[in-house]
Amino acid sequence: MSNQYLSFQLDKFVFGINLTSIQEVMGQKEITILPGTPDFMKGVINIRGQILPVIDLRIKFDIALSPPTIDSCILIVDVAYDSEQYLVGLIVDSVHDVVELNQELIEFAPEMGNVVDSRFIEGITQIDDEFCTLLNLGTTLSINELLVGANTEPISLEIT
Amino acid sequence: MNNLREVFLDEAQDLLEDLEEAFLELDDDRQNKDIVGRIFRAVHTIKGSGSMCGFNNLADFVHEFETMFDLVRKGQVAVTGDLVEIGLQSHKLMSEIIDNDDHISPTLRDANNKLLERLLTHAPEDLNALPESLTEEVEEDDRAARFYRINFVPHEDIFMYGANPLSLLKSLAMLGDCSFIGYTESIPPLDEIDPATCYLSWDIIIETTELESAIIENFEFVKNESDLHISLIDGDSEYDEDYKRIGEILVDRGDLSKEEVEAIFAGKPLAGELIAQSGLLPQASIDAAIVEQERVRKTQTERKQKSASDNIRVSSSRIDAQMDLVGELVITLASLHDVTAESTNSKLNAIVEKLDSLVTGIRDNVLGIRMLTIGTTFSKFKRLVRDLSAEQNKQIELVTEGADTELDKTVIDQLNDPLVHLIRNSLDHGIELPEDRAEANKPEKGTIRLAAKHAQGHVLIEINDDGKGIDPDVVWAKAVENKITDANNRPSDEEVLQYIFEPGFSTAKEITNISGRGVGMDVVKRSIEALRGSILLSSELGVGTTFTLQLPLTLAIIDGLLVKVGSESLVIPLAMIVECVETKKESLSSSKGGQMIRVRDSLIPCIPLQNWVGNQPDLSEEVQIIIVSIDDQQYGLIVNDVVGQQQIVIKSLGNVYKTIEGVSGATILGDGSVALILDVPQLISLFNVGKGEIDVAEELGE
Repeated sequence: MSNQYLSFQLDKFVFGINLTSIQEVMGQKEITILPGTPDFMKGVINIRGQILPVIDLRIKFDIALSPPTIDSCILIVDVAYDSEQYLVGLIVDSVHDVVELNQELIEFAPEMGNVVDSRFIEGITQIDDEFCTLLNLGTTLSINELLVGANTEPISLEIT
Repeated sequence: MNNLREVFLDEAQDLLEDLEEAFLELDDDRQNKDIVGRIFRAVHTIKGSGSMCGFNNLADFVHEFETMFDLVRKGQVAVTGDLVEIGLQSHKLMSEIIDNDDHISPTLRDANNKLLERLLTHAPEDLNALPESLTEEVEEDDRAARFYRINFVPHEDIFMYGANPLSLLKSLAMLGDCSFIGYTESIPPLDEIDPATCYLSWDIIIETTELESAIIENFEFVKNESDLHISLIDGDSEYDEDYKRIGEILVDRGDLSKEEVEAIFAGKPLAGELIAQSGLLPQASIDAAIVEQERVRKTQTERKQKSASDNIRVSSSRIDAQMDLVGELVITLASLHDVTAESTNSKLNAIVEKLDSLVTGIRDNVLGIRMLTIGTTFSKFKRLVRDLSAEQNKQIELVTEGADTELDKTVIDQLNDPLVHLIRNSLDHGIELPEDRAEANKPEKGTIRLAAKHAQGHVLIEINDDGKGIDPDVVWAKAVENKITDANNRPSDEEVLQYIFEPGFSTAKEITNISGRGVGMDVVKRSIEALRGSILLSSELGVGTTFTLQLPLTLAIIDGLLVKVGSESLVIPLAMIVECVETKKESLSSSKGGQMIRVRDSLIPCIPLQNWVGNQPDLSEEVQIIIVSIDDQQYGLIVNDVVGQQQIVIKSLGNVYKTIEGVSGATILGDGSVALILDVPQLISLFNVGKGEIDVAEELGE
């Protein structure tokens, strides 16, 4: 883990992800739907021959939806969890900056009152007087978490 | 160093497999010295390479076995069932120690010590008086190894280049067993020694399984600072009789001319001594020749002429990477086809065609490299059958056929669990106890036959037992009881038997630790289907049961039909498709269970894929129905459009999507977008298709 974090915007909230986990930042891309998956799983994309899932963090974190803007982009992050390692794409509103954060600047997340579930938070810090929630990718994007809310109902045979 | 460890782990895996197989063979044929020799060599190599890579605990443990099997090999200890048992258990321990990265936990150490104690009970009284020449003995057995004579003469100024001949010799010793003969005669008296000058040279007789190039590589850094001569000194048939005499060797080495030797030999017998006395050569040269003579003579007696192996070891990750690249190539070619389809440039089209055939060639080649024989998987089962039959007091022999049948590595890897399950099944439910078999006029020893063969682009694997067979009446009763089927409508016996593949089905009267929990056969069927294969069952009461698995040769590339559902592209494996029908939306007849299509007097239930994909506009008036066949039942998949048939490079979706139903993988299309490959049987099970409606459909059709 380095001390560098990439900060990005989701609605009016600022989040940060440790820079070592960031593989690349790319613009919008056409996404192939993956049926039967939770709503936040937007589908899969092809990055140089590798197929990886793309997640809309707004839906995952229950933040009000808004149409994509010119600043919207996909962060490709490297998730290491439970001896598994895989790449995931995250749709975010915009990417800000790389910031250097010493460990003493990072505080534990309070149990309540967070933007997202405290399980997903690595720590809280302040950047330019704004709160920034540092995400724990391992818990946020664990394989089990990626499947929460998948549709298991039988599908209707009616045609429209 | 890490690299070395990896090589060792790889090698150890192979050796352990071989070891297990050898022990099992030894159990059947306890007098066979060849097998004992094989065990000994495997153990010896594990010890040697293990300690080289820092697996010291492993080496210590293995050492005791090596000692014991040396005694067996010399006929001082007889092979007993207990010894084989100890061997198999030690094999398990060894793999555990290796898995734990040479870390021995207290429980492991305990097991280790117990096993060693048990082992020592087999040793003769005078264990301490064991012959010590272990390493020497191994060479006799190691048939693949060859002898090289290396003459290494460092230049006097070699130290100036920072080279250390000693470390070179040490690393040479890692390639194989060496005998070093140092030439010290050029060392001047102490007061004249220049510490920066190298006065020494060496003759080395090395026995190694490595190629000559490996030896040359060892001296690569000093090739300009030394004189190096390497020659193969055995392995040719001309040495089949007795190895050369000392004089001949010296001539061979260029130390003496033939005439000189003959002159000395005029009527005198003891060549080595005489030459030494004559002072013609320094003692070291003669010693070198004598060592060479001794070493090679020893191996001569046992050596069989064996051509050097042309095989190379390549890690599977490199082949996978190669496969990925070929996949990309196929995809790129597809996009090139898209572009040139509109072109009228005949030169360009000719090149594309040529490229096409080349790519197909490369693809087939790489697929061929990935093919492995199924034999390694088979041999694992020998152990399984042996252990389990003993546990259940049954006498069972596992017969394997077609162990050299080739299958894609991925298929073989994923085939293991289903096969284990089927064999356990035969063991537990199939083969009877010896008493019962005797009563039924069968030999007491039951047989499970595991056979693999190629057939029409597929691989067929048969698991066959001569046990009591499956009673269709019992299956039927159970199926009715578990409400899997309708009690009033009994199909043929053969169809009834297939109910054992239904989820939640088990006919075992009691649950053993092997099988009978009812989570078995449906999982087997699912995993075989996941491999795009199928499983069939036939059984005759009192005679036996046969499972037949049909599997594709490869999982990497399939033929598929590309279809459009709304804006999404989907791939349906061509093997599942019966036909495509174009029709109007209103011509589908609706029933309470959904839509039906009438194709040549039969009604086929239709599955609207757009409901599964979701977020799509309503269907247009014109629709395409892809008729697929699953277990003799036909379904129609409603899609918007058929794009065409294509070679599909399958990309694994990885663990993240393992639980996503209806999709078996994805592929990348010519334009770089992703298309999902449908797992049709699973996909249909997602829809609300009840058995009842299908029966209605059949009735209507007739």
